Amino acid sequence: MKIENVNFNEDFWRDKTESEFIAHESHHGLSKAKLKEVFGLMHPKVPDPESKPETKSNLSKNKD
Amino acid sequence: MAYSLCGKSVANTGELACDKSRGVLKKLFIFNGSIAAADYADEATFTQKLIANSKLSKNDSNKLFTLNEAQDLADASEANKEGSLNLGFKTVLLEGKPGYTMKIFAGGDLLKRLRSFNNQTVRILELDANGIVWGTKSGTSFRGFLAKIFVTGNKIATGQNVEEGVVTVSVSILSTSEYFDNNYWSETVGNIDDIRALNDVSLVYKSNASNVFKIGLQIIGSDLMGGYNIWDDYGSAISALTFTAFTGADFASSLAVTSVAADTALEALTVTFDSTAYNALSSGDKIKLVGPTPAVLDAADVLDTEIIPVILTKS
Repeated sequence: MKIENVNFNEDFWRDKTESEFIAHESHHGLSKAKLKEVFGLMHPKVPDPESKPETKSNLSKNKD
Repeated sequence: MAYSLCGKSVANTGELACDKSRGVLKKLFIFNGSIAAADYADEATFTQKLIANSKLSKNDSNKLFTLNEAQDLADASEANKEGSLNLGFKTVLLEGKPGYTMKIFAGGDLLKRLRSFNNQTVRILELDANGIVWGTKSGTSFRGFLAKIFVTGNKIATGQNVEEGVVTVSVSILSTSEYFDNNYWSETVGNIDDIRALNDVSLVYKSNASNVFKIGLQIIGSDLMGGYNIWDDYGSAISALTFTAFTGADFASSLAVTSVAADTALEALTVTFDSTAYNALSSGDKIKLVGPTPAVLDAADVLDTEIIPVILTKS
């Protein structure tokens, strides 16, 4: 993943923590907020399979 | 009726219309690999295979090296050896081996690279001016003719002829049976100039602070002032690609590259290794940094480039 001239190894950082990432890659001159953002992009939240989105029909039922 | 055994060893002498024969040589390909039957299923597939093979790493056994277009040709075949009887009979005893010289344009740096093939036994494919590629076959695989090449040039020009930048490539064919009796050809389709010659771009160590290394990208040449820095051409594009690193005996152990950044001020890559693994190395341990393959570079529009690895040392 390339952000502001830095190409991060997503495979390597996949199983690492945010604090490890920030400590390791801070020398590139990116702000802590930007590094947190990058780490977040490399670790997209997986939707919980248990929580089903409400369907249109459910919504109409709820209205009743 | 004459009694004859000829049918066991000779062929009929009919000829197809438009039977192919070698035209004027246009380009020479040094190709030590082979092309499987599936890759010459048709002319378009065959041409694409030649193009793909030209973009392989020089370490790949199927790498195809292309030389610049021929500008001048001269037959240099050895004459047949003849024998005669003193009552007037004369016949060919031994067929001379084919050979020729080809002049191409090449600068001093390319000449040095071409001369690295001198005295090597290689296989060559010939592309003639009719767009036909000539080679031989082993089993069902298409391959080049066995040959030796020798390259000379870059002598001082005399001003009497076209001499400056003219390089002479001498080609000596090793086998008449391959070259004449077992030759095969294919037409090509599309732009034959898509068969490319690559430049060696060396990764060059500049400095490091612990596990963070600054690495330049240079084409090493004869300029006393240093190699050609490719940063302005492709530095940014290359920094977006994946690099790998290896360490240990025979560089068999992987060392993670955690990030690659473009240092535009220094015109270099900032390569960061996994600090935990790097710190575990002993002082003096070697690290081999490997760039993306020519095919990956080509797909990213970094054209005609092979990145040569660099060996780094843990300080």
